[in-house]
Amino acid sequence: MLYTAFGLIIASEYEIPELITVQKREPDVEIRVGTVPQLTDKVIGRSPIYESSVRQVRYDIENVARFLVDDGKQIIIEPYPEAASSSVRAFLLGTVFGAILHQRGILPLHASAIVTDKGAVLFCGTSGAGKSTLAASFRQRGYLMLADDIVATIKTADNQLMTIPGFPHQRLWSDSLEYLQDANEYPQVRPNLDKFVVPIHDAFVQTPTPLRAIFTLERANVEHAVAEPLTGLAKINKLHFYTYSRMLQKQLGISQAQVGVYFMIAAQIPMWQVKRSSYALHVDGTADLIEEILSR
Amino acid sequence: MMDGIIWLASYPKAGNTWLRAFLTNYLLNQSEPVSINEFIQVPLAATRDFIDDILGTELSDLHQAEIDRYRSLCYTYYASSPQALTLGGFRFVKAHDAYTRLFDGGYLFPPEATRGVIYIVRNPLDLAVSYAHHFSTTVDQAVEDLCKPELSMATTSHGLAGQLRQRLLSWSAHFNTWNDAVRVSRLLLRYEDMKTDPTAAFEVVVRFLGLEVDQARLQRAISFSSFDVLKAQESKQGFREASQQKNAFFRKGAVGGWREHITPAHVEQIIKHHGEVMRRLGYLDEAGNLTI
Repeated sequence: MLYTAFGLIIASEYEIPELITVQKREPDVEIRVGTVPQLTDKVIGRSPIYESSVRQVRYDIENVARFLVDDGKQIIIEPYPEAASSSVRAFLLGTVFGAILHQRGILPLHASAIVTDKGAVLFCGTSGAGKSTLAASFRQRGYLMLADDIVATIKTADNQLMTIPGFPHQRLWSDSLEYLQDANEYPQVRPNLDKFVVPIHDAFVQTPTPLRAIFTLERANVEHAVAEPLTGLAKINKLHFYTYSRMLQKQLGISQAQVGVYFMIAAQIPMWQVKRSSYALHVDGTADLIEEILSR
Repeated sequence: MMDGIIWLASYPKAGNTWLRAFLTNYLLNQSEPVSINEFIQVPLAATRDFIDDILGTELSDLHQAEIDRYRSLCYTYYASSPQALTLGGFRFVKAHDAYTRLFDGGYLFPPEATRGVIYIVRNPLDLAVSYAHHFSTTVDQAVEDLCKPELSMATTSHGLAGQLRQRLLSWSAHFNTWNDAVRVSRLLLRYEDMKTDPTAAFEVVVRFLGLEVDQARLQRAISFSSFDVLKAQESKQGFREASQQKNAFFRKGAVGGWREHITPAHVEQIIKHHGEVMRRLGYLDEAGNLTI
């Protein structure tokens, strides 16, 4: 099957029903099912679940799958015998794609992206900061989305910052769905996980969109959401902090293209640090605040 | 830099942050008190971002048993990682979890990743009052919680939680699991002793780390981490580890203050569940009378 995500054409032996299919084109990334070998090159980085060399990352997610991510061009998947395919895809369309983007020198941010009439707006946050729920709340207000969880932004040949479409789904916990009053039935991200794959095809923009603004999202001891503009080096620090799989990035080395995007964002794109109440799921107040800032 | 983690272990509200403040001030040895929001060289074992970062994938896609297993692997990794945060050459990690086993028989805090444990214990009656305040609950509920054999904290490891689930167990079971941990070098500190004679208590801590005690430095670190300094810092700049309900993290820090809040029925309930460990730790005397 041929799919597309992050501006890449993906030829996959492994079925990925979440992705948008495309007609016959020259693939950028090939996904195969097979035996995942040990790394042959010198290991330069590792964690409890992966080893990486300059060109390859080898993941071993116990009882789910092993993945070899090779030079930004190829992924080999070796599922564990008992693994549910949803579990395999949960890691494929997350951690593994993060590695592909790093290997290709593309900057992935841990963020969600919506589209406004003036361009793409990103909500950066660590896991649990509320970025997906916030993006979903904007979706309910009629905004379209470009990506959830992993957001890639590139500098084009004519020096434009463009955010490119990611995966056409969100992963939302049942408590978020409840808060959003979304009572539809969705497939679970993995068996026995209270988190669901919510397709957003109807609200998904399939073309790269100029980047307009970035909000970083943090839980804090505040009653109502507050926003402060970020300036100078603080912008670079935040962007680096919210880089997806930043340990892997550190081990692989930051690419020239990624450095370019960091600095161009810092120079051209307004950024705000938003602190929101850590207590509740209530993201409506945050959404109001962000809409107000964007209307200025 | 030596490998292995030194765990700063305790039930919540037993004085762990005080110890962290002392160690940071002593080991950094600066001329001003270190800000309470800058104790960053001592990470918290159950912070989701801390584990996410080491692991290189998102815990939100993992089941609870997998999360616990990966936490354990992350600690083993962290124990010898060149990227670990260090303080004075030591790798400290603060933990509120009991010393529990995983489903596969391994330990959440693996002995092979451990260089030592500093365990702080506090009289459960004072602790219950502090706990009630911190978690915005009643003293009734706090006493009830401390007696639950399977008490857990941050039970939703999903959604918007910044901390992973921590199995605390009951107050005495928590002590017993850490105290029974084999092959682990341990130092036991009583909060009450730290209060009564901080010089003596913190001298023991410094020696436990294998360092010579520098008296001037010790006295300065003790005064820089005193309750009044920490509390003043919190009221001025806030403390990011305060509870979500925005109650002050540093409240009274008193010894024996429980008498104003705790009923005889509470005392009876605590002694019934924890009498044996309380006797062992000197919170009850031979005759079964409360000492504090």
